[in-house]
Amino acid sequence: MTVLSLARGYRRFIIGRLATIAALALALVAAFVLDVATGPSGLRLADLLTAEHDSTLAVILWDIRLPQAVTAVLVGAALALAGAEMQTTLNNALASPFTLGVTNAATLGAASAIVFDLSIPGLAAMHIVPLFAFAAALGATLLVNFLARSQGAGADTVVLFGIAMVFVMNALLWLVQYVASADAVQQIVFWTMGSLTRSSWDKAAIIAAALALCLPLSLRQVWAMTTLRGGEDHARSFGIQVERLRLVVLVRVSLLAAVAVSFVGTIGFIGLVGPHLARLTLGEDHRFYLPGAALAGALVMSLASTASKAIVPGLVLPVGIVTALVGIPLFMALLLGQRRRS
Amino acid sequence: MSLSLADISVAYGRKPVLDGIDLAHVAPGSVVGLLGANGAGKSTLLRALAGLLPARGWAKVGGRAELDGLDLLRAPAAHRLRQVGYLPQSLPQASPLLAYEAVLGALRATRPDLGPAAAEAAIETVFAELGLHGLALSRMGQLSGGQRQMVGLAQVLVRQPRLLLLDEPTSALDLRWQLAVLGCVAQLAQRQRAIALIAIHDINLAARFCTRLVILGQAGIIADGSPGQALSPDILHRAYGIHGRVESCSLGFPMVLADSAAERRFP
Repeated sequence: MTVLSLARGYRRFIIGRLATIAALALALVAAFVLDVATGPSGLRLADLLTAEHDSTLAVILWDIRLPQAVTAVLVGAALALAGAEMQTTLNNALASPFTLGVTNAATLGAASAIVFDLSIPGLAAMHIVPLFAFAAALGATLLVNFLARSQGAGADTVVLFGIAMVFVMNALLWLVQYVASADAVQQIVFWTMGSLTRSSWDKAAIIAAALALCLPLSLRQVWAMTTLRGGEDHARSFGIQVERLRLVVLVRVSLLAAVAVSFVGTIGFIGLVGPHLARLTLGEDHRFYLPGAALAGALVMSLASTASKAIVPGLVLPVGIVTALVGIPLFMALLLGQRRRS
Repeated sequence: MSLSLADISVAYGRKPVLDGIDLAHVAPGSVVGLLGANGAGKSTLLRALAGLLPARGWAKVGGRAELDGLDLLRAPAAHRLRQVGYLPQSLPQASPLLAYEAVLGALRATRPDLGPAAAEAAIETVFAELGLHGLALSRMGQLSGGQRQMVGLAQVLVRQPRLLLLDEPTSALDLRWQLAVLGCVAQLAQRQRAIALIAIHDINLAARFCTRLVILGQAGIIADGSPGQALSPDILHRAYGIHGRVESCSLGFPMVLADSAAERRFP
């Protein structure tokens, strides 16, 4: 046995993973360009790029396609990062950013704003619905956190409180819908289907800020999170305060999910499948797994955004409908490929 | 360097689990086997010494445990982690982590001060010592339960703790690996002047490798001494509720032969 042969063998794994991350990043850039090049107007990218300043074409590029494409990338990254952290911290591969009722609370907030025609003096009407959605999502999250903290923050406890929160929020939502006019109910349904057509630069900036705040904090805890994958008892024996770590992660996850949901509505699947794609290609060393999940989520979301504009020519489908349809084939292909190799 | 326990008591809520546990002067190089029936408090004692009971809130720990002047029950976690390595009874999860990463993660979590070269060397050594070289770059999910248990042990040994607290380290292992693990622990204890405290059910394995046996009954320690001193038919009856014999094998180690169960009720 040569000296340090294991370290050398392990370095090969690391190089492979870095290459995978680079490939994901390249694919994301390609998907982004494709997304910008696709639109219901059928205008080609070359035309848009060579358009004169202040022309209609420039408006389409700068105010519609680019903010939507950027938002797709940011939302995908935020949801998948949140999902990856959620799955690790709850030790549950079925967990997603929405396990604790963040979406349901956001929908309730949005529905209340729509049905009761809520307004805040000095605030434009278009900001009211996302604001109430965000406030409700954050409120629900803090409540789950508070309850979990008081009960010792075991993984099962947190999931149970989350499920209870989902049911309570749904019940309240039905109550609101029951008293709402038919017109308002339709608005609520449309809000629930996640859509990128609500994107704008300032919303994208807020999602980017949330991501810029959370990602470095996630990366600071990669070793603790990696160790947690070995089992709670083992992590605890290495001095990791599992309950505290879990509560911190929950706050981070909820912030990301709440911001994303408030601006673009419910986009399921990304927060579940992004982490799984990363796990299949990169393993669970969180140094690679967390950035990989964010990249994978952004990639799937970007492809879904393109598909939502390309499936029916001249029409933009709500992207929330498309994410699963685009993501599942990718996921299945990887899963089957993995099985064939092993 | 020595370990001594004085009047250790643990209660879960109002239910006392351990009371008046004294263990005077455990010398460096000792391998202490902790025996006793199911529910006698072996795991609880190890968890208490590892500082993992207060985390559960409702457990109350009393008494003193000193490792060479370090008050184990009250020392800050960072100080304790430098000296104490604890292997939980549960096996490491079958995750997609590589075995190498599991050990690297354990080392990084407990010794962030260690440079990359020193960490690599420490991991290399522990995998070689445990005979796990061939598994190091496999995913934990592809390993058998026993292999994962070995990786769990590697996670503890890589830190070179002065006090090893091992909770049934051989529960998932076949005969060959049972001998390998206890042999390795005994050797390490000798070489690094460390102390190992091992909760274990296999009395004969314990008698073969431990320098001292401590037998827990319902009312604290009922025997404490070398394997030859601590094992007797009377002790077996009091500790486990069995009729058994203690005979000497051809190599001179005491061998326990269990004949029949005297009582079959759980207390």
